[in-house]
Formats: sequence, structure tokens, C-alpha cells
Amino acid sequence: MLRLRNTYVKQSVPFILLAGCFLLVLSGAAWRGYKGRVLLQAAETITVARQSQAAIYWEKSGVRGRILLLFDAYPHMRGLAFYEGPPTLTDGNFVEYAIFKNIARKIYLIVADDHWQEFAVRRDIGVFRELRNGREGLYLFTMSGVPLLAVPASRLATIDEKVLVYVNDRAFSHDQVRTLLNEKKIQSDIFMIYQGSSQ
Amino acid sequence: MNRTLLLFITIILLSFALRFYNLSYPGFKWMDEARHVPAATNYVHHGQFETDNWEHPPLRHLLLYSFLQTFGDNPSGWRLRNVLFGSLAAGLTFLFALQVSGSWRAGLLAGLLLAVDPLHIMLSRYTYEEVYGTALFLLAAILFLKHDRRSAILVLAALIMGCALAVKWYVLPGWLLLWYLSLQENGSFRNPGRAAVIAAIWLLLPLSVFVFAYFPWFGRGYSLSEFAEFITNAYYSLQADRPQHYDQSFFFLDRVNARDWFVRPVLVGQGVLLEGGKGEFALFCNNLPVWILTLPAMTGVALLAVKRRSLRLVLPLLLFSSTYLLYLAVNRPVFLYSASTLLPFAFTAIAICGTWLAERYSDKLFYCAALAALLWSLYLYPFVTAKKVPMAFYGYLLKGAIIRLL
Repeated sequence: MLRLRNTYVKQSVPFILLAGCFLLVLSGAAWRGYKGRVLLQAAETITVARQSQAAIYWEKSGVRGRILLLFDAYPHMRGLAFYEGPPTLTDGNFVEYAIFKNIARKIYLIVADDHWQEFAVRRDIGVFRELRNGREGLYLFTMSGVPLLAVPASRLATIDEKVLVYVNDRAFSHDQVRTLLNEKKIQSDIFMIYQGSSQ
Repeated sequence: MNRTLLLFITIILLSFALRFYNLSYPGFKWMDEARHVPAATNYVHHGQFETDNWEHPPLRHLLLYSFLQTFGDNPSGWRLRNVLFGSLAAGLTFLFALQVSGSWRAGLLAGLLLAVDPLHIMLSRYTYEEVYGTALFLLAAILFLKHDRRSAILVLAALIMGCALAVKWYVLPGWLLLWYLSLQENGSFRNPGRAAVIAAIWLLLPLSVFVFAYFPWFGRGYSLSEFAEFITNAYYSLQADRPQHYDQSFFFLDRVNARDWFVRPVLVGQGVLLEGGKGEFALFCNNLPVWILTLPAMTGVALLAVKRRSLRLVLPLLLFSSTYLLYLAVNRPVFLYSASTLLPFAFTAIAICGTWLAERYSDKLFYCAALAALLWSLYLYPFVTAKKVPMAFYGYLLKGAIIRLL
């Protein structure tokens, strides 16, 4: 009996130590991720006349590591072919700029329901993975590896943390967007409305 | 100094000399260096992968960053990592072949073949991750073979395997294979406690290293569930990779299939014709007179292993196959430089069969064949590594090759 118990202890201790080490690494990673997110306490609604102003505002507000809901016609990013420093901010790449500044860590590109079928069959959007098991959405290729998930508006899932919202008023009505977010129980600390000429 | 250590050091020094000579040429970032070098700094500082592919695990960036910090943002800083690991890989190939065959002649031949292999030399002079990924995997395999139920050695092997996994995905089958073999050893799988400890060592430790390599990425705010999403996306993105996604001037695109590597000549690269009948080329080639022996040697090793009832002897075949079959099966383009990960096992098999034939038939023939193989590889050395060569002696090799002339 004593020999059996010694064997059991001899085998359990290393297993527990190694499992503990693994859990420690996972905990460390999760903690690092948690510390990398910066949210605002109060909710703000901002209107901009130029798309690049959205990225400037986010950067100045200090938000970091956020999920961005993009209610627009296209994702505003291209990717860096040659690295010579941060991308120069323009209206056409403000999302890419936000990624580079570690403002956005994941992007949902919301497509209006009545445009979804037409969007989903386009060959130029770089789909590499489809959501399955009852969920609807398409992962679009990005050079940064940041998840860019295109979803039809009605199939947007609930997101537990506060998100950044960007609405192109020419593509979506901001009132409809607010209604959608309330239905999905999604909260936002910065609700950005772009009112200008569409790109 | 014992013979093993002496040979190990000699092979490493020879490899180092071939890889280090004139390392600073060209003085600008060439080919993938233009993407790898800035990506290393970008990853460590910001947790971002651009300008390199985000699908590949990021230990590469951490390693390169450490060399850039030590040696500076210059050709030495860019390339020394590969030179050192490439040299080490040749020495490790010697040790691996010695471990599985018990023959120092086989070990010496295998190590020398890798030391002078033109493709491995070329890759060791730039930033290709196949070089250090292979060296790490080989080191893990050697430690696994030598652990002899010593937990500390097995733990070290697992940590190094984690580093290999955190460099390139394709060590995954080899990693799982060695885990299976560790369970088979001494019937460990029959004892649940021992099996659990082995699983903890061989699965959890490498996974810990793998996750740890992503710490800068986690710093961007990602959670563990988003990590699982990211890894899944990396898999799908790699499977969706197609030749048309690349810059069409990329000369590797003309050979995107692993089937050719060991049976047909493959030579791609770029060069310039100079005055006086000379040329200067940077080339990636399969050394076919040597490589063509690989598949027959694998068959030979399998037969020898069955005859001698030796699992150890069949290990080169198992590790070679586990990765080569992956290359054959995937839908995405597979470029010639990926073949370098198979070379230690290929050369081990060739060396084992060569020494067996020598013992049965003729030692002299073995030494002549080995010398011929080594001299041929050294003949190719100036041709592939951008030395000025007389076209009268080398021009014929360019027939049928895909060369971008500048």
C-alpha cells in the first residue's frame, strides 16, 4: 500500500507541476490581453465630417485593444507591403491606421441584410473562412491578421464587452444602428457617425 | 577530446565557414529579408505581424529581434541567426544519424552532406525560417532519443520542441509522432499515471512555449478564445493560399509542388551575366545527384529496420514521411526551400544505407562515392552563393532552370 501511494505521489507531483505551468502561461496570456484593453467609462457620440477624423479621435481618447463595429460599405484597409513606419493616415485607410495603433483588435464589417447575398458572392473580398453551425459570417483576409468578420446586420451576435462603433451615415441610418445594438444588447463607449461624401 | 565531440565540432566549423564567408554581400536586404527584418521589430514593439505573414507562428520574430539588438540592423544582424542555426543543424544531423545507426561513419557522412548542401547553405545565409525551425526540431529529436527515462532531458526536449512548433507549423506531425513513441517506450501507455506525466511533458510544455511566443500579440488586448479563433483562421488562411496571391515575379512560383524535389532537377533564382564570360547567381536548387538517393534510401532504411527489429533505425523514415506527406497533401503552394526541413532525415537515411553497402561490399567504393558527393556539392557552392564564376564551367547547369536575369 505504501509503495502504491509513493508511486501515485511520484506520478502526480510532476503532472500537477507541469499542468500548473501550462495554466500559468495561459493565465499570463489572458492577463496580458485584459491589460491591453482600454475602455472609456462614459458613452460618447461623435460626428465627423472626414473618416480620418474617426481614427484621430480614437487615438486621442486613449482607447486600445478594442472591437470595432464598422457600419460601412468597405473596410478601409489595404495592408503594408513595405514597412517604413506607421501608415500615413488617410480617409481610405483609417481602419488600417487604427489597427496599427493597436486601437482595433477585431473588426465586424456589418452588411445590410438586403445587400448580404450580393456581398457574399463577390470575388474581390478575400473570403478564406465561413462561419458555420448556425452562425452566419465570412472571415475576410487581412494582411495584418486582425480578424475581419463580415456579418449581415440581423445576424450580429451579442458582444459582451463595450465596442467602438463607426457608422457611415450614407450606408446606414445611425438610428437604425442604435436600435440594432439595443436589440443585441451591445454597448458602446464611442459611437462615431460619419456624415460626408461616401467613398 | 572524444571522437564524437571532435567530429561534431569539425562539422559545425566547416558549416559555419561555408555559410559565414562573405555574409555581408549583398549589403541590402534581399528577398524575404525586406519583410522579415522590419516584422521582427514590429512584432516585439507592437505585437503586429506586418510585413511578414501573420499565419506563421511568431518565435521567428523574437529570435531575429534578439540578433538585431545584439549585432545591429545590418547584414550581420539580419543573417547571423541563420548562419549559427544552419551550422548547428549540420552538427545535429551528425548526432542524429549516430544516435539512430550507432555508426560514426554514417553520422559523419550525414552531417557533411548537410554541411555542404547548396540549398541549405543558401537558406542559412538569409532569413528563411526553415533553417532554425529544422535545427530546433532536430535538437528536440536527439534529446528525445537520449533521454533514457531521465525526466530532465525529456523536459528539455519538450521545451525545444515547443520552440520548433512556435517557428513553423509543419513540425506538428513529427511532434505528435514523438509523443506517440514516448508513450510506446517501456509500455508507458499501460500505466495511466506515467502516460499522464508523459502527456504533460510532451504536450503541455510545447504548448506553453507556443502560447508564450504570442505574448506580444496578446498585449494588443486579445483573449484566449480570440487566440483559438486566430489559430483557426491561420489554418484556413494557409489552406486558401494560391499561386495567384503572390507577386508573379517570385521565381519560386514556377515550382510549387513537392513531388519534384527528389526526382527531377529544380533550379530557380536570379543572377547577372558579367563581362569576361563570368556570371554571378543566387540560386536555390535541389542537389539532385545526392537527393535522388533519398527515396531509395528510405526504402533501404525501412528494410534494415525490419531486419534488425529496430524502431530507432526507422525513425529517419518516420520523421521524413510525417512532414513530406504533409507537403504532398496540402492544397497550397509548397516552395523548394521547404525541402530543407527534410534534409537531415534524408541524408541520415542515405548515410545509413551507404555504410551498410560499404560493410557488405566495398569500403573503398563508399569513400569514393561519399567524396564525389561532397566534391560535387562544393563545386556548386560558388555558383549558388553569388560568387563570380566562369560561365564555361557552370553555364550548362542553367539549361531548363528558371532564372531571373538582371
